[in-house]
Formats: sequence, structure tokens, C-alpha cells
Amino acid sequence: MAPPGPKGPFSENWLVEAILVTLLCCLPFGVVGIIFAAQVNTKQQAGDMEGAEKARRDAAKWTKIGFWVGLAWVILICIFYFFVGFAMLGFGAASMN
Amino acid sequence: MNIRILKISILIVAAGAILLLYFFVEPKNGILPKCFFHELTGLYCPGCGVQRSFHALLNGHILTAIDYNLLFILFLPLIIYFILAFALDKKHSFSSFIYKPVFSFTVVIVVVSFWVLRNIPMVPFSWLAP
Repeated sequence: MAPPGPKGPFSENWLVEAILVTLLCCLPFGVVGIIFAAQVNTKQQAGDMEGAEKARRDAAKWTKIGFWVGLAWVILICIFYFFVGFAMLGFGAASMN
Repeated sequence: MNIRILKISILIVAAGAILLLYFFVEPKNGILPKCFFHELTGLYCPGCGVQRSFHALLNGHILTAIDYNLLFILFLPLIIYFILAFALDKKHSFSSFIYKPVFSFTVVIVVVSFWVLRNIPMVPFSWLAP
């Protein structure tokens, strides 16, 4: 594996991940992620490393919450369709008799 | 087994599956999951219309795609750029502009105003609704 990226002037800010979560519909967590992500580099430039690190962790946290809630929603829908499909199969079989 | 090749092949297979799914399946016929936020509140979220937009885009209907979700089409180049950077393991050198405060605050303002504006049921704004 490649080593983690340079700890130079910029670090991870989770911006694109948060945008993806927002667009792929896991609101309102994605927007919270974007707002925290925007604070990371501002605080870093102001020299507030502690604040930047905290904003980065919050951005990561909300983006991940959004991701898992969204995934859970998709899985729930799939389970729902699975049972609806079974119910319809049963109905179809019953109406054929 | 080279881990990078594994990573890239998983990415290619997943991307291929998603492209095929959205090329053939019309999201309007209700098989694909609907927006969580829209189901709960009846309001549009910034991501509402992305599935329909993606389907339209894959079938070459760019104007329809823009009509469903302008934000998605605007961010698409950024998303593709980021996926490429991830696949090539050059996330940091590739995407330095993403780490500029001006850029991230522009994103916040654009996303939040898009979210608010597309829910206003009046003519110039309702064009943003899916």
C-alpha cells in the first residue's frame, strides 16, 4: 500500500465524499459534512490546527453517517421489493387457479 | 496479488455494473429506491433527480439530464476527476484545488442555495426542481 498522503499544507477535507453523499441522497447529513469540510482548510490556513483536525473529524463523521443511513435505506427498499415480489408471485399463482 | 490492481478492477466492475443498470433501467418506473428525504418531507433535496438525470445523460439526453438535476451535471466533472485521482493513487497531488477554502465555501453556498431555490414553487426557481 502507498503511505498516507503528505501532511503538508493541505490534508483530507472530505469535501468530494460529502458532495457524493449529498447527491446520492442521504440528507441532511451530506450537507452537514460539506459545511464541516469547508471549515477544514480555512482553519488550517489560519493556523488553527486543532480546529482543522476537529472539523475534519466532524466532516468524516457526518459523511459516514450519511453514507450508512443511505445504504441502509437502499437495503430496506430492496428487502421491501423482495417481499412485494413474493406476495405478487403468490397472488399470481392464486389467481391462475 | 497487487492490491492496487485489485482496487482498480473492483472499481471498474462496480462502475460497469452501475453504468449498465442506469443505462437500461428507467428510474421513473419505480424499481430503484426513492429519495429518503423526499419521502419523509415532500421537499426536494439537492440530490433529488440524480437517478433520472444519470439515466438521461447515459442515453444522450443532456438537456433532460440538466432539467432533472443541474447540480449533478455541474459536479460531474469534479466527481470523475476525483475517481480518476483515487484510481491512480494520486489523490493529493491531483486534487490540490479541492483543498482551497475559497473552493469549498463556494460549494457550500452553491449546494445550500440550490437546495432552497429548487423548493420555491415559482417559475424561475421551479426549473431547478426535478
